Amino acid sequence: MSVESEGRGDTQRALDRLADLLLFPERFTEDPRAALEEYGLAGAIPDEVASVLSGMSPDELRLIAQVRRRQGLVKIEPEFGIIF
Amino acid sequence: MAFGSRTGSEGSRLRLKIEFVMPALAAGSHRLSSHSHPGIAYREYLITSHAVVRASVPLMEAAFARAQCMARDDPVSARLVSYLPEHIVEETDHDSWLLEDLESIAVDRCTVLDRPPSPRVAALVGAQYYWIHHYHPAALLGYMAVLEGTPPLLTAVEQMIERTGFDRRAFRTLIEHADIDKHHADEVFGVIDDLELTTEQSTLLGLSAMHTVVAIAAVIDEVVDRCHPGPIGPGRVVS
Repeated sequence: MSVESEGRGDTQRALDRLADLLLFPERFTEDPRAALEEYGLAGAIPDEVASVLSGMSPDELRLIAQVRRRQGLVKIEPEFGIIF
Repeated sequence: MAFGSRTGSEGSRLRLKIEFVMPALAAGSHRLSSHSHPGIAYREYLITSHAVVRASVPLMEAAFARAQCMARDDPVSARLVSYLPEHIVEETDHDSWLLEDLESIAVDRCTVLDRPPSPRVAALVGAQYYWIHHYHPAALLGYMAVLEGTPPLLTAVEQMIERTGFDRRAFRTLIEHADIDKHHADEVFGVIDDLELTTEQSTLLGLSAMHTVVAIAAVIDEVVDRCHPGPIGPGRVVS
Protein backbone atom coordinates (compact mmCIF):
# COMPACT_ATOMS: atom_id res chain seq x y z
CA MET A 1 0.00 0.00 0.00
CA SER A 2 1.62 3.24 -1.04
CA VAL A 3 1.50 6.44 0.91
CA GLU A 4 -0.15 8.16 -2.01
CA SER A 5 -2.98 5.62 -2.14
CA GLU A 6 -3.69 6.32 1.48
CA GLY A 7 -3.93 10.02 0.80
CA ARG A 8 -1.33 10.76 3.41
CA GLY A 9 1.43 11.77 1.03
CA ASP A 10 1.58 15.36 2.13
CA THR A 11 2.01 14.40 5.77
CA GLN A 12 4.67 11.85 4.95
CA ARG A 13 6.56 14.34 2.78
CA ALA A 14 6.38 16.91 5.56
CA LEU A 15 7.79 14.35 7.98
CA ASP A 16 10.68 13.71 5.64
CA ARG A 17 11.41 17.44 5.53
CA LEU A 18 11.08 17.51 9.28
CA ALA A 19 13.81 14.88 9.62
CA ASP A 20 16.56 17.45 9.21
CA LEU A 21 15.09 19.40 12.09
CA LEU A 22 14.53 16.36 14.31
CA LEU A 23 18.15 15.34 14.00
CA PHE A 24 18.78 18.17 16.47
CA PRO A 25 15.70 17.53 18.60
CA GLU A 26 16.50 19.95 21.39
CA ARG A 27 15.61 22.83 19.05
CA PHE A 28 12.24 21.23 18.42
CA THR A 29 11.45 20.26 22.01
CA GLU A 30 12.45 23.71 23.23
CA ASP A 31 9.88 25.50 21.04
CA PRO A 32 8.09 23.25 18.53
CA ARG A 33 5.97 26.01 17.05
CA ALA A 34 8.93 28.29 16.35
CA ALA A 35 11.00 25.39 14.99
CA LEU A 36 8.26 24.40 12.53
CA GLU A 37 7.94 27.97 11.33
CA GLU A 38 11.69 28.25 10.97
CA TYR A 39 11.72 25.21 8.66
CA GLY A 40 8.71 26.41 6.70
CA LEU A 41 6.56 23.58 8.03
CA ALA A 42 3.97 25.51 10.01
CA GLY A 43 0.62 24.16 8.88
CA ALA A 44 2.19 21.41 6.76
CA ILE A 45 1.78 18.77 9.43
CA PRO A 46 -1.62 17.80 10.81
CA ASP A 47 -2.29 18.96 14.36
CA GLU A 48 -2.54 15.38 15.63
CA VAL A 49 0.91 14.52 14.27
CA ALA A 50 2.54 17.77 15.41
CA SER A 51 1.03 17.32 18.85
CA VAL A 52 2.46 13.81 19.25
CA LEU A 53 5.85 14.90 17.92
CA SER A 54 6.02 17.84 20.29
CA GLY A 55 5.33 15.55 23.25
CA MET A 56 8.16 13.19 22.41
CA SER A 57 11.58 12.96 24.02
CA PRO A 58 14.78 13.94 22.18
CA ASP A 59 15.77 10.26 21.92
CA GLU A 60 12.47 9.35 20.29
CA LEU A 61 12.75 12.24 17.83
CA ARG A 62 16.34 11.29 16.99
CA LEU A 63 15.20 7.74 16.11
CA ILE A 64 12.58 9.12 13.73
CA ALA A 65 15.11 11.48 12.15
CA GLN A 66 17.60 8.68 11.59
CA VAL A 67 15.01 6.49 9.85
CA ARG A 68 13.56 9.30 7.77
CA ARG A 69 16.95 10.53 6.60
CA ARG A 70 18.05 7.02 5.64
CA GLN A 71 14.87 5.77 4.02
CA GLY A 72 13.13 8.86 2.76
CA LEU A 73 9.60 8.49 1.52
CA VAL A 74 9.08 4.91 0.43
CA LYS A 75 5.98 3.23 1.70
CA ILE A 76 4.50 3.39 5.12
CA GLU A 77 3.55 -0.25 5.56
CA PRO A 78 5.55 -3.40 4.94
CA GLU A 79 4.19 -5.64 2.21
CA PHE A 80 4.87 -8.85 4.06
CA GLY A 81 3.93 -8.13 7.65
CA ILE A 82 5.64 -9.64 10.66
CA ILE A 83 5.17 -13.07 12.16
CA PHE A 84 7.57 -12.55 15.04
CA MET B 1 -2.62 22.54 18.48
CA ALA B 2 -1.60 21.29 21.90
CA PHE B 3 2.17 21.55 21.63
CA GLY B 4 4.10 19.66 24.22
CA SER B 5 1.09 18.06 25.85
CA ARG B 6 0.01 14.41 25.72
CA THR B 7 -3.25 14.57 23.81
CA GLY B 8 -5.27 11.58 22.57
CA SER B 9 -5.06 8.08 23.96
CA GLU B 10 -1.75 6.44 24.80
CA GLY B 11 -2.45 3.77 22.17
CA SER B 12 -3.17 6.27 19.41
CA ARG B 13 0.03 8.17 20.20
CA LEU B 14 1.99 4.93 20.09
CA ARG B 15 0.41 3.97 16.74
CA LEU B 16 1.61 7.29 15.28
CA LYS B 17 5.10 6.85 16.66
CA ILE B 18 5.27 3.42 15.02
CA GLU B 19 4.00 4.88 11.75
CA PHE B 20 6.73 7.55 11.82
CA VAL B 21 9.46 4.90 11.52
CA MET B 22 7.61 2.29 9.47
CA PRO B 23 9.40 3.24 6.20
CA ALA B 24 12.46 1.52 7.69
CA LEU B 25 10.62 -1.80 7.59
CA ALA B 26 8.84 -1.33 4.29
CA ALA B 27 12.01 -1.26 2.18
CA GLY B 28 13.37 -4.58 3.50
CA SER B 29 9.96 -6.17 3.33
CA HIS B 30 9.76 -5.31 -0.37
CA ARG B 31 13.20 -6.78 -1.01
CA LEU B 32 12.12 -9.96 0.75
CA SER B 33 8.80 -10.40 -1.02
CA SER B 34 10.30 -9.71 -4.45
CA HIS B 35 13.52 -11.71 -4.00
CA SER B 36 14.80 -13.43 -7.14
CA HIS B 37 15.13 -16.72 -5.24
CA PRO B 38 11.82 -16.77 -3.35
CA GLY B 39 12.17 -20.30 -1.99
CA ILE B 40 15.56 -19.58 -0.48
CA ALA B 41 14.40 -16.24 0.88
CA TYR B 42 11.29 -17.70 2.47
CA ARG B 43 13.22 -20.55 4.08
CA GLU B 44 15.73 -18.11 5.55
CA TYR B 45 12.92 -15.86 6.72
CA LEU B 46 11.29 -18.75 8.59
CA ILE B 47 14.56 -19.82 10.22
CA THR B 48 15.20 -16.26 11.39
CA SER B 49 11.59 -15.85 12.49
CA HIS B 50 12.01 -18.92 14.66
CA ALA B 51 15.04 -17.34 16.35
CA VAL B 52 12.87 -14.37 17.30
CA VAL B 53 9.63 -16.18 18.09
CA ARG B 54 11.22 -18.67 20.46
CA ALA B 55 12.00 -15.68 22.69
CA SER B 56 8.39 -14.41 22.82
CA VAL B 57 7.15 -16.45 25.76
CA PRO B 58 10.42 -16.19 27.76
CA LEU B 59 10.35 -12.39 27.26
CA MET B 60 6.79 -12.20 28.55
CA GLU B 61 7.68 -14.46 31.47
CA ALA B 62 10.60 -12.16 32.32
CA ALA B 63 8.32 -9.10 32.17
CA PHE B 64 5.71 -10.88 34.27
CA ALA B 65 8.24 -11.85 36.95
CA ARG B 66 9.61 -8.30 37.14
CA ALA B 67 6.11 -6.80 37.17
CA GLN B 68 5.14 -9.10 40.03
CA CYS B 69 8.02 -7.71 42.07
CA MET B 70 6.92 -4.12 41.39
CA ALA B 71 3.13 -4.51 41.40
CA ARG B 72 2.46 -3.60 45.01
CA ASP B 73 3.52 0.01 44.56
CA ASP B 74 3.06 0.37 40.82
CA PRO B 75 -0.34 0.19 39.06
CA VAL B 76 1.24 -0.19 35.62
CA SER B 77 3.06 -3.31 36.77
CA ALA B 78 -0.12 -4.57 38.40
CA ARG B 79 -1.93 -4.32 35.05
CA LEU B 80 0.90 -6.25 33.37
CA VAL B 81 0.55 -8.99 35.98
CA SER B 82 -3.10 -9.40 35.07
CA TYR B 83 -2.58 -9.20 31.29
CA LEU B 84 0.56 -11.18 30.51
CA PRO B 85 -0.44 -14.70 31.68
CA GLU B 86 -3.30 -14.84 29.19
CA HIS B 87 -1.09 -13.68 26.34
CA ILE B 88 1.65 -16.13 27.32
CA VAL B 89 -0.86 -18.94 26.80
CA GLU B 90 -1.89 -17.49 23.42
CA GLU B 91 1.71 -17.33 22.17
CA THR B 92 2.84 -20.71 23.52
CA ASP B 93 4.14 -23.18 20.90
CA HIS B 94 4.21 -20.71 18.02
CA ASP B 95 7.94 -21.45 17.71
CA SER B 96 7.02 -25.11 17.22
CA TRP B 97 4.65 -24.11 14.41
CA LEU B 98 7.62 -22.54 12.62
CA LEU B 99 9.70 -25.70 13.04
CA GLU B 100 6.83 -27.70 11.54
CA ASP B 101 6.52 -25.25 8.63
CA LEU B 102 10.24 -25.66 8.01
CA GLU B 103 10.07 -29.45 8.22
CA SER B 104 7.41 -29.39 5.49
CA ILE B 105 10.06 -27.91 3.16
CA ALA B 106 12.72 -30.37 4.29
CA VAL B 107 14.55 -28.19 6.79
CA ASP B 108 15.42 -30.32 9.76
CA ARG B 109 14.68 -28.81 13.18
CA CYS B 110 18.21 -29.56 14.40
CA THR B 111 19.57 -27.39 11.60
CA VAL B 112 17.40 -24.54 12.82
CA LEU B 113 18.11 -25.00 16.52
CA ASP B 114 21.86 -25.43 16.03
CA ARG B 115 22.41 -22.18 14.15
CA PRO B 116 23.66 -19.38 16.44
CA PRO B 117 21.19 -16.47 16.30
CA SER B 118 22.69 -13.40 14.69
CA PRO B 119 23.71 -10.24 16.57
CA ARG B 120 20.79 -8.45 14.92
CA VAL B 121 18.30 -10.93 16.36
CA ALA B 122 20.02 -10.56 19.73
CA ALA B 123 19.76 -6.76 19.44
CA LEU B 124 16.05 -6.98 18.66
CA VAL B 125 15.18 -9.30 21.53
CA GLY B 126 17.99 -8.39 23.92
CA ALA B 127 16.96 -4.74 24.15
CA GLN B 128 13.72 -5.87 25.73
CA TYR B 129 15.50 -7.90 28.40
CA TYR B 130 17.57 -4.81 29.24
CA TRP B 131 14.55 -2.53 29.59
CA ILE B 132 12.58 -5.16 31.53
CA HIS B 133 15.34 -5.86 34.05
CA HIS B 134 16.93 -2.44 34.33
CA TYR B 135 14.06 0.02 33.88
CA HIS B 136 10.43 -1.09 33.62
CA PRO B 137 8.67 -4.21 32.25
CA ALA B 138 6.09 -2.02 30.46
CA ALA B 139 8.75 -1.61 27.74
CA LEU B 140 7.64 -4.97 26.37
CA LEU B 141 4.27 -3.49 25.40
CA GLY B 142 6.07 -1.37 22.78
CA TYR B 143 7.65 -4.49 21.30
CA MET B 144 4.34 -6.34 21.36
CA ALA B 145 2.47 -3.42 19.80
CA VAL B 146 4.76 -3.57 16.77
CA LEU B 147 4.77 -7.34 16.41
CA GLU B 148 1.05 -7.79 16.89
CA GLY B 149 0.15 -4.59 15.07
CA THR B 150 1.86 -5.48 11.81
CA PRO B 151 0.32 -8.83 10.85
CA PRO B 152 1.18 -10.68 7.66
CA LEU B 153 -1.01 -9.66 4.76
CA LEU B 154 -2.89 -12.63 3.32
CA THR B 155 -2.53 -11.30 -0.21
CA ALA B 156 1.26 -11.17 0.23
CA VAL B 157 1.24 -14.70 1.69
CA GLU B 158 -0.74 -16.01 -1.28
CA GLN B 159 1.74 -14.38 -3.65
CA MET B 160 4.62 -15.97 -1.75
CA ILE B 161 2.94 -19.40 -1.94
CA GLU B 162 2.67 -18.99 -5.69
CA ARG B 163 6.21 -17.67 -6.12
CA THR B 164 7.90 -20.35 -4.02
CA GLY B 165 5.79 -23.27 -5.20
CA PHE B 166 5.87 -24.59 -1.62
CA ASP B 167 2.96 -26.49 -0.12
CA ARG B 168 0.58 -24.37 1.96
CA ARG B 169 1.71 -26.33 5.04
CA ALA B 170 4.92 -24.27 4.92
CA PHE B 171 2.84 -21.13 5.46
CA ARG B 172 0.75 -22.21 8.41
CA THR B 173 2.34 -19.74 10.86
CA LEU B 174 2.00 -16.81 8.48
CA ILE B 175 -1.61 -17.62 7.63
CA GLU B 176 -2.60 -18.16 11.27
CA HIS B 177 -0.96 -14.90 12.34
CA ALA B 178 -2.69 -12.92 9.61
CA ASP B 179 -5.87 -13.74 11.46
CA ILE B 180 -4.99 -13.89 15.14
CA ASP B 181 -2.63 -10.90 15.25
CA LYS B 182 -5.49 -8.53 14.44
CA HIS B 183 -7.22 -9.71 17.60
CA HIS B 184 -3.99 -9.63 19.63
CA ALA B 185 -3.19 -6.09 18.44
CA ASP B 186 -6.56 -4.87 19.69
CA GLU B 187 -5.81 -6.51 23.05
CA VAL B 188 -2.35 -4.95 23.38
CA PHE B 189 -3.50 -1.46 22.43
CA GLY B 190 -6.50 -1.87 24.74
CA VAL B 191 -4.15 -2.59 27.63
CA ILE B 192 -1.94 0.37 26.68
CA ASP B 193 -4.98 2.65 26.64
CA ASP B 194 -5.93 1.43 30.13
CA LEU B 195 -2.58 2.38 31.64
CA GLU B 196 -1.92 5.63 33.39
CA LEU B 197 1.67 5.99 32.28
CA THR B 198 4.07 8.58 33.55
CA THR B 199 5.75 10.77 30.94
CA GLU B 200 8.87 8.63 31.29
CA GLN B 201 6.95 5.37 30.85
CA SER B 202 5.20 6.78 27.78
CA THR B 203 8.60 7.65 26.34
CA LEU B 204 9.82 4.14 27.17
CA LEU B 205 6.98 2.55 25.17
CA GLY B 206 7.74 4.86 22.24
CA LEU B 207 11.46 4.07 22.32
CA SER B 208 10.80 0.35 22.66
CA ALA B 209 8.32 0.30 19.76
CA MET B 210 10.39 2.43 17.41
CA HIS B 211 13.59 0.56 18.26
CA THR B 212 11.71 -2.67 17.51
CA VAL B 213 10.76 -1.45 14.03
CA VAL B 214 14.33 -0.39 13.28
CA ALA B 215 15.77 -3.63 14.67
CA ILE B 216 13.31 -5.79 12.69
CA ALA B 217 14.26 -3.87 9.56
CA ALA B 218 17.90 -4.73 10.24
CA VAL B 219 16.98 -8.41 10.74
CA ILE B 220 14.99 -8.49 7.48
CA ASP B 221 17.87 -6.84 5.61
CA GLU B 222 20.15 -9.53 6.97
CA VAL B 223 17.75 -12.27 5.84
CA VAL B 224 17.73 -10.88 2.31
CA ASP B 225 21.49 -10.36 2.22
CA ARG B 226 22.06 -13.99 3.20
CA CYS B 227 19.99 -15.35 0.36
CA HIS B 228 22.48 -15.65 -2.45
CA PRO B 229 22.56 -19.16 -3.92
CA GLY B 230 25.99 -20.62 -3.40
CA PRO B 231 28.14 -22.86 -1.26
CA ILE B 232 26.80 -23.58 2.19
CA GLY B 233 28.56 -21.93 5.11
CA PRO B 234 27.83 -20.55 8.55
CA GLY B 235 24.63 -18.55 8.43
CA ARG B 236 24.46 -18.95 4.65
CA VAL B 237 21.71 -20.73 2.74
CA VAL B 238 21.80 -22.68 -0.48
CA SER B 239 19.15 -23.57 -3.01
